[in-house]
Amino acid sequence: MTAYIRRSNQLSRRTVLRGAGAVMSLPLLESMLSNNGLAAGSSSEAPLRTAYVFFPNGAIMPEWTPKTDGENFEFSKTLKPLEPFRNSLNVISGLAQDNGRAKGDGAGDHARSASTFLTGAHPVKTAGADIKVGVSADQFAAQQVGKETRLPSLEVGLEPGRTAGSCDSGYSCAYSSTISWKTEHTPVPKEINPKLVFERLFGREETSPEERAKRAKYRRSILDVVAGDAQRLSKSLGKTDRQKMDEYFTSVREIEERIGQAELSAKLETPDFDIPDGIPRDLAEHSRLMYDLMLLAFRTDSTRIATFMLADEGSNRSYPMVGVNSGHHSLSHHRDDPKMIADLQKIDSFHVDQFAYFLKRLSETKDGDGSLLDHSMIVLGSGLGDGNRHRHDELPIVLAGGGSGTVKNGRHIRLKDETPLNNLFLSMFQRMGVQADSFGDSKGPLKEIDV
Amino acid sequence: MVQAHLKVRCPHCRFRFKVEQKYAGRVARCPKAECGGKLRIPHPKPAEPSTVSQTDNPADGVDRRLAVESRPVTKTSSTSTRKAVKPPAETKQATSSPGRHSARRSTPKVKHRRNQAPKAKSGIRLWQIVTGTVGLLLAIIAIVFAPNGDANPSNEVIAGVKNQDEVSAGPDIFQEKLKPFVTQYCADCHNADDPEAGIDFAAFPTEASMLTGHGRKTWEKILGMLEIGAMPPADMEQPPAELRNELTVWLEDRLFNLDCEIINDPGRVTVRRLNRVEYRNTIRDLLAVDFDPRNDFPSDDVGYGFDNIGDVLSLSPLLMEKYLDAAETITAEAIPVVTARDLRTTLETRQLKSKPQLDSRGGFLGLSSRADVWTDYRAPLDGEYEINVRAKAQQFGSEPAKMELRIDGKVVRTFDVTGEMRQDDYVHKMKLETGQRRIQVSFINDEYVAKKGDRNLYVGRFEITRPANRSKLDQFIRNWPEQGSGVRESATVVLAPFIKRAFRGPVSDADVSRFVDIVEMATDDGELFEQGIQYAVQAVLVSPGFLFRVETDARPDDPMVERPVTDYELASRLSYFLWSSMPDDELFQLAERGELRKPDILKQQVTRLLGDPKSKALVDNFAGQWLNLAMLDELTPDPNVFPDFDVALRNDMKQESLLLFETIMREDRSLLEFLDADFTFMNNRLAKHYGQEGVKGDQFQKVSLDAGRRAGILTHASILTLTSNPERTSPVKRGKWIMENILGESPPPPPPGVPELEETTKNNPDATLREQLKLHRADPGCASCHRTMDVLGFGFENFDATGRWRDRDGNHAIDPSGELPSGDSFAGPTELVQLLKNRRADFARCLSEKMLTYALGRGLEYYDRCATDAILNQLDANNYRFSELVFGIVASKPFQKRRGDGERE
Repeated sequence: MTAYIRRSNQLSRRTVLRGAGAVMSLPLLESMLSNNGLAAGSSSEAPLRTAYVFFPNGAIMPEWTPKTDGENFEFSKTLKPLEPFRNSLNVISGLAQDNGRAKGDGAGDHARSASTFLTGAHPVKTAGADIKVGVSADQFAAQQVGKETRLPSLEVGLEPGRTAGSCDSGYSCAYSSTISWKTEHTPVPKEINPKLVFERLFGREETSPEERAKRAKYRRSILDVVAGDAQRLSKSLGKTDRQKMDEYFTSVREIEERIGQAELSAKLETPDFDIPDGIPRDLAEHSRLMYDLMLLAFRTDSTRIATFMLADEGSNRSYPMVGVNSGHHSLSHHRDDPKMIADLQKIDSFHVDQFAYFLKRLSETKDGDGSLLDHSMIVLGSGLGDGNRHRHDELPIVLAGGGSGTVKNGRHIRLKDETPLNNLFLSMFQRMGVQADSFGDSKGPLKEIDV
Repeated sequence: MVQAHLKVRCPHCRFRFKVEQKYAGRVARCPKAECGGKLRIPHPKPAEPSTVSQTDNPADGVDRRLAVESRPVTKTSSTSTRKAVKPPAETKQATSSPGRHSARRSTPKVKHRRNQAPKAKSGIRLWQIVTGTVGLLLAIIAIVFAPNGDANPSNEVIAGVKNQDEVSAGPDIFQEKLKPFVTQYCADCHNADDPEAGIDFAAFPTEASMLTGHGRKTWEKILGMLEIGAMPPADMEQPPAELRNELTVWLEDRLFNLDCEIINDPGRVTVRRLNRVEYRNTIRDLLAVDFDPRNDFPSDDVGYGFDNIGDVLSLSPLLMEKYLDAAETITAEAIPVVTARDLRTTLETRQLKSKPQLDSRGGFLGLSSRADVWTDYRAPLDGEYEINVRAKAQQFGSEPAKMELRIDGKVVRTFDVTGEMRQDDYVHKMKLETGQRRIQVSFINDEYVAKKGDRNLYVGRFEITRPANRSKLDQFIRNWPEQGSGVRESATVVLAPFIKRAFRGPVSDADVSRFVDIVEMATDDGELFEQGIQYAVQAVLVSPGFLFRVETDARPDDPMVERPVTDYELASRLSYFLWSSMPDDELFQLAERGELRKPDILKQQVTRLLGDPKSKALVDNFAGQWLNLAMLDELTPDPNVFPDFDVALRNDMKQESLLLFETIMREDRSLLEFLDADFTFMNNRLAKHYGQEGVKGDQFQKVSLDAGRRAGILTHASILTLTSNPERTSPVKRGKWIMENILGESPPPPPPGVPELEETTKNNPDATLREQLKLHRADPGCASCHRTMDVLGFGFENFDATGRWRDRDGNHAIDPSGELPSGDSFAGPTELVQLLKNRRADFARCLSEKMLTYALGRGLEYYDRCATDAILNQLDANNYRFSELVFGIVASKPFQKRRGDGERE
């Protein structure tokens, strides 16, 4: 069965939504988890969650990278907000996404940053025809372990994706507006509206179990009919068209599976959560709400895999709430201008601050014999290191969470230069029970995080 | 040397094509898809292989007469053109129009045979210098040889590309000059071991390898680099200017001088999912429901600048789920299923009014003397209502208690409430008119005799059942099954025409039957018929036939098989191009009758579609994306510098530009007015922003422009803002925008390692932007593009980062003058606009290419140059009228035809 949360009288919806420093009270989580035989083998173990949080345009690395290595390192200016979680995270330096480099494809480092971040594959430079990169780490894992939850994975973001012009030097906008790739040809769009994220997780309100069952039944018949249509149609379609029809078919199948999952969890109730109205105007609130929803998804075991794009790659958003009125991307080419560097650092701090909020919430949420943070592996990072020079090495990466006791935390890990970021993903797969000998350009698991 | 190709004319359809001589004597099929007739390839007359001859082949048993032409295929020696072209640097300076020299086109130039060459452009172009050469490429003709019992009876043979050079007597430039050149100057960095920029020259051993699809794209890039002098890099050995020049001219010619009669490729469009706008409009036209998916569906990816490109429109599980939800919402509105329970309004006693005021006890109001109980009910529609009042009475005397029912004060019924305190429902049916109605009951025969008895009335809840509004339902379901039978028949009658419209083409009985199954399943479950229809329509709305614009082929993977699109496909291509929606009844009827394709009817339909209000879709979607107006949404000018900028102003800016486009479209004006219109549209907010007097109100009105300052789209606040940085203008961005969106030239991205312009800011903080950018152009690698880009941008420096006029930038006076590489100079923005207008052919090409991309839903390929050239000729002959652009696109080969998937050899 799948976990669910009953309405808790102990805290108002508003408190949950706002966070407001309230300690989460989750009376049912433990009992629910003890029934949950899905987590790696033993029924008493809480499942392991993973999330990948991406920010664009690189970071001001001198302010990001801690000055000292190993344990008891000193938190840098940018990472300072994470200090309370010292024992639940590692700062990892020296990782690279080599396939983000041009390799003869010329300009377009931003498109390559986002598209390689979780794939470690080199994207085909095209404005449209034959978009191709590789399956992303989240989707790869979801394809193996995602069946155990109602949603195999959750993809959220804060920017809508570009709808005009070209995104980056001849690359289709798909490359810079998502980090999740279901297949090498199929980008997974992210959801930016908190209300719709909620509905995706818990369905629309006001439906009774009977109505839901009826809907599931007819949806299934509808999907049967249209899946047949797609197959018949494919026979008179060319190769490229068949690819599109395969996408359609795969989507239909996935929803059918999800309906099956939902029927198993007939007792699913809407959790105690103030259902969001839409997209908050305030970016900080928008961001916190998305973190809240990720937390909620993990807490209720609706999914165990999530990605979060804090902005699209190459985003030129300004951050007036921290006094930055110029565009992020314009600033990122700071050419060593101290004012621009200072502004950029403020943006980095903003994102780290929000991330710290997420870690706080995770750490305060009881889960099995520990906290959600103990049973998570959360990556925060960017596909670019030094954004000014479009560097695809020396990436800013933080790995937070105990990995259910499998990760040795509390260190600034200094790796050999050019260590593939995919090594980290491979290590995470092992902990999640995802079978893979290698992934993308990985050269082997990242032993440095082992206990 | 033997002539290796024969020109053949098909005896059936008179289609002319070329074929390799080795196939002489074989039986073949005409390569023209619609024809495909059998014919025998004649032998050339041995004595005179290069003259026109006629051959009869009475013995072949297949064909009677076959016209054979052999054309002497000669090449002008490239030495004759060499003199005409100067080394690249000088050429650029000698040319007369802005910007045109530096960038490579996305689609190549095409040579037209038989005097179809496009009208001369305003500037001399490199490629025109060499148009004197003839017959450069041969073939790409599919000849399917029919089995005729010869050596290879069962295999169909397809004649592939044949390059003339291999058989002509002229010098083999590729082998004799280009290869040695490449070996000496390029291969050190671009070889198999270390293919810098992904280029390995060893991959191109022959000229043919250079001209295949992929090779062509690579060589277009190589040529671009050679032309602007970016390669070989300045610190490497440089080739002699004359040799470089000879080879660039030769490459231009080989790559871009196409023979449209031979190339003749309609290309192939990938199946297109409806994007959000198309989905919304199609639902509107199919079911009369306005469903706005913008907040629900994930945004559509953009390719080639537009969001209707089949290749990038993907379908994720997330979107599929949204489609299912949307189908539910839409069908609930289009096919409202109403049960009796939905129609009933129950008013408990506490919700009823009474006079005198009565208390409710046990669900009843006790009326012990004359009293009224009522409700004011809003009848939603005219029709028969059922009024049901629960009542009981305490009896006394000679008659039962009487309860009078009044509607709006008028007595309509008097009930005898019988039985001793026996609760009953008293029902009255009557017609009511829409509106507020007072429904009232009164106790009219109170009787009380002290110590003897008392007659009292007790009134309980009111229940009002309104009539079902079936007008919508009856509109959709015009055939109802008989009681308990005929579900399949009725469902088929209802669904077949609907599915045909939804799929925008003919459907088979089997197609319909699968959806009818769903209806039957529902009614078997005890659901209402209309509920079943609702489910079936949901299925239609999530089926691939609706969500995708599908065009199926008999041999979908054979790129050599081409066909005209069907009339239904043409109807959809038209309606989605001009309306972003499905065809209407008139288009469907013409398609059904097979008449849509007739040129006069087609033209008439295009005119009709353009004249319809729905063509606003072309304005919003095409023009909005062409001009990149959505980029405004991503930009927030620095509030410290531009405190007056807000969302309303941003939308007004967009609106102004869209209105200019719409006016040109609706009034069928010249496309060139985009560049220099002397009018525009403003409302009070925008006028205030511009400093224009006398515009009042929120509504946009036409305004004449100040002649010295503004003209056309380039001086709109929208464009000027979206090409600026949040805190200041960016002449480079403005220049680049003009090159890309007006002149159709995409400057290549800056080479890596270029010193950044702003480094100079540190060294010389007082320098003006113009002075800083001068340094920018000192580097020869940058100069080739920036010389044009920056000058164009500086011409608009009188407009600040939100498009307001200014004479000073901080402490510096604005100098809006400039001189383009062509030597043309201008004093300010309006003069620059005039110079740009002189390049009408480039502008028209740019716009045509973008609109063709939008109309087809795919990126353009080199062979599409043939289509755009034809459109340009038509525009030039018709004063660049807007409608001619649309006519030209609709009549073009890629719009009218399709072929199998894959790349033609």
